[in-house]
Amino acid sequence: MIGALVAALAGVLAAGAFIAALGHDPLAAARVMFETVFRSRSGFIDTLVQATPLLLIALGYALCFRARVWSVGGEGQFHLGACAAALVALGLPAATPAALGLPLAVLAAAAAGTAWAFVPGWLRAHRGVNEVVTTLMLNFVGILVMSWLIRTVLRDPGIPLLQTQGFPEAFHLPALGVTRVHAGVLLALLLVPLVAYLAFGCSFGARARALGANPRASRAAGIDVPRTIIALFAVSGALAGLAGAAHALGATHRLLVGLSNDFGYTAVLVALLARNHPVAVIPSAFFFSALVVGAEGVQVELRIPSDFVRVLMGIFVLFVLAADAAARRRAA
Amino acid sequence: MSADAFLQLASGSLIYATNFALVVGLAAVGACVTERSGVLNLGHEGVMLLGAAAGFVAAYASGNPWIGMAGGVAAGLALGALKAFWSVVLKTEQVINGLLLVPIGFGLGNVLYNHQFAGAIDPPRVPSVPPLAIPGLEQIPLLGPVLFARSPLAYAALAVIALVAWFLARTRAGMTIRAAGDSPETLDFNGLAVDAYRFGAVLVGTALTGFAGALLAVDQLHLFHPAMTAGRGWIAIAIVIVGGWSPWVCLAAALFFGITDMIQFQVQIQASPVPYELLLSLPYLATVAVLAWWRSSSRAPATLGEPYRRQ
Repeated sequence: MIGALVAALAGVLAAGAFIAALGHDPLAAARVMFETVFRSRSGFIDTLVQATPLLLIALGYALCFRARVWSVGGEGQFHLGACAAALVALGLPAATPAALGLPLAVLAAAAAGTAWAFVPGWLRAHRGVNEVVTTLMLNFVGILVMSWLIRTVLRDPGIPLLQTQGFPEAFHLPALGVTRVHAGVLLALLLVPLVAYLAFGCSFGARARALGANPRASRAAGIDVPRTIIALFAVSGALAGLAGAAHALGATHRLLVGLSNDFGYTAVLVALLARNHPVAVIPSAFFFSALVVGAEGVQVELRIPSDFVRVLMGIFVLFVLAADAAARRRAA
Repeated sequence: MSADAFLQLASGSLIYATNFALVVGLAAVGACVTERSGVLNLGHEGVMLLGAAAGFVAAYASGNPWIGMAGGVAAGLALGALKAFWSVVLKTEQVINGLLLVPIGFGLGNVLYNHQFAGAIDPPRVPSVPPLAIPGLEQIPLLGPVLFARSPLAYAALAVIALVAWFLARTRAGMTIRAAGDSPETLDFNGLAVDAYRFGAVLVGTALTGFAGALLAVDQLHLFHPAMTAGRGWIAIAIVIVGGWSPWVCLAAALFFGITDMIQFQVQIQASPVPYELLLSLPYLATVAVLAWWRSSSRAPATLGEPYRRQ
């Protein structure tokens, strides 16, 4: 606990030093960030909207990373999920009742995310192919699949090139109150206990933990290692697919180029900052989402390029790693 | 098509393919050295992008492309020191600490570039480096322009690849690096510092990758763009596996991927009915396919990814 606090403090100091090195006042940057997220209604809402896909994708990553399965394919699975949801929403008659249409769109997205994750999962499980490289390659392809759909199959002649027409009302996830925050955030929060159960409460989680601790020993103990690996990929793919559906059906109500604000990549850091704990992923997703939204405010007000926030996020996780290393040394 | 036009198209295509191969090959050969020492660095994509930004800014500010290359190498060394400290000294999970170089490299690269060129409307460009033609040889049809009339920076890249391949295979230090990956206990037993060699091997890898990024920005595209590496750093890591951790085989694999990329580019500019998204996907799909088809994990360094702790 003290280690985590020291890590957080060191991370904040390093982040401040970095902003100072850019020739800006770190305290001013921190104040603008805080005000963007907590003092403006749209900033706070945007933080919640962007935290939703981060939370969903990071839940899947956390499950995989616990088993030292390094699936980082959330970005591609997110795009495939969004595509599947859009095909359902624009393919079914607009008069489809929401009670039928929405579950169909969401399930299709989960299935598409799972399918996209299955390929690298199978290759890792049965051929020992490095999953970091394959999932990343499929991220690039997944983004291209979506731009192809937008340009061809889902193209509406009356609409500018870079987006599809809006989904019918029946396929909008209900908004919470009159805000842009949508039911996707509730779905994500409801899935947290389920993922926690998968990680800690059942034999699947025990198998995954054993795999992370020692793959050879877990094989000797009779664990079906390939099946466990593929199941981990499938669950994380489904969650990332859900994230795509939630964001498209809840926030944008259409497919558009740039749908993902690098959610699949930021979620890697979200899971790592949470030390792969499904419950800790909630504050972690909110924190990184607030950093991303706050950085946009900083870019507008202080003219610091918003990309500086990616460095900050990386630094934070580096210090988490360092704190863990120090704790291990003390225990040894 | 006349014979001349065909030759011109063919040599242009080969120049495109070898450009890709030089960038990916530099990073892959660097990653070879790092991985042979037992350290896995998955951050090459981020290192390459920062190398591209630093290289471009340095070349633009100085007006000298060689200083651009030095800027790329310096950026690579900086990220490499971070990676090596967290892998070798703190001994944290190597998969994670490498992945972290990607957001850090992208963030630093974009901040550096935007800081330097804030408010520029047209993207700034650096002039192309005049080719160094080798008299006589450059007249050879097809191969002349591809092999003997390239920019001095491209020759330098090839020379660096050859030098590092020779270093890893033939020098005592190279042999020690390989032993650090395959049998660190033996090294330790003989009084050699495993961690020092691993630290150095990480720096070699990121220095070459930073050079590769600078080459891409300064010599090949003459500009910087945040998406310009487009997975080249990841393909380099795949190539190390496909190439069985041997630098020359890696360079051959890099040429294969360069040809794949050249084919998709040529088909794209011929306005073919094939969707361009599918063409752009080809290098990525080829990477997955080749990895799936290859069976080479048995040749991996014995302790790849595992920190060395004295028993």
